[in-house]
Amino acid sequence: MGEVGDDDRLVARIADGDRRAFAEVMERHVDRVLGLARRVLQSEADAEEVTQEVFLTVWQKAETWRPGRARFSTWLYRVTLNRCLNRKARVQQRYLPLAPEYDPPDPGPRADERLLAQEQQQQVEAAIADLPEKQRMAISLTYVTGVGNAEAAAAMEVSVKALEALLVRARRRLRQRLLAEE
Amino acid sequence: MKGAMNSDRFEELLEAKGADPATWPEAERRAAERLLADSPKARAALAQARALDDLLNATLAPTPADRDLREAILTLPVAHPRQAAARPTVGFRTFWQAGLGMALAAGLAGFALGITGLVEGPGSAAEEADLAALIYGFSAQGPRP
Repeated sequence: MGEVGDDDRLVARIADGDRRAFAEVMERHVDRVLGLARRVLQSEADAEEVTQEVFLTVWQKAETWRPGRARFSTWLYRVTLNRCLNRKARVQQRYLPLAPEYDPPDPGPRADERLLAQEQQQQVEAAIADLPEKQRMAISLTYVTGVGNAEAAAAMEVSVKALEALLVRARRRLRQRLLAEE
Repeated sequence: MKGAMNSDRFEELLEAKGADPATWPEAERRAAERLLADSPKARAALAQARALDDLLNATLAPTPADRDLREAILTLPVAHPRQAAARPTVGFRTFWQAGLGMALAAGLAGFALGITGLVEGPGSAAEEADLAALIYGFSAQGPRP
């Protein structure tokens, strides 16, 4: 059985109060939920809080999940985006690059290569942070969660055409900024 | 030639659907393959789109959530709805008496909090959106997988 079917079965068990199923769903999805929230909120602490809220929603609302209507992951990303937007609206958070304590993964073995990679990563981070919110959401859904355009569109509650228009603008902007001199 | 694709259309598809033509719709994939065979400009555009994809994949790949966050999620101090619903009930008289007292106290406290704006009302926008997604499915605009 594929990942979609597995998710549906696990969510059905969560609806019965099965904490092991909840732990399994958390393990499967937490990295991508956190990654998505991190990109939308631009804050590690807020992203972690939203991630907890998202899984709390899974725990409390699993009973109302209807398999077959959509993928569970699509719903999960949609909840994540809603929570992020809600939080931003509530706290009027400023758009800032990632928090200073954010420590990107060690990119390479040699010091000079590592430095170069870190510089490059910072440039990419800054370029993504400067994207308009909807474009950043579209790019984050595509590259953080790895979903296709149809699922990303459903998570953002827009048509595939609208999602692709966001991706076109975002990729064009990123390409001009990051690859222009090459 | 029927089904021919020009460079502008090819570049638009790269930006809309990503730098892997193998994932594109069949007709467009075939047209793109023909264009790539003949056009150095299209090949250069594909190389640049792949370079951008590589950069974004390397930067945006999710890093693992740390152990503290995982533990915090697993120990959420919230009863499961069914467990909460299955809690033992008390006698009607006790319940009625206790309930009346609590309702009065809660009413007063709620009025005080509401009037001072210290708490957010129930059914926040996010919560309502989550529930709507669960109960009614997804927007008609978005395709259902």
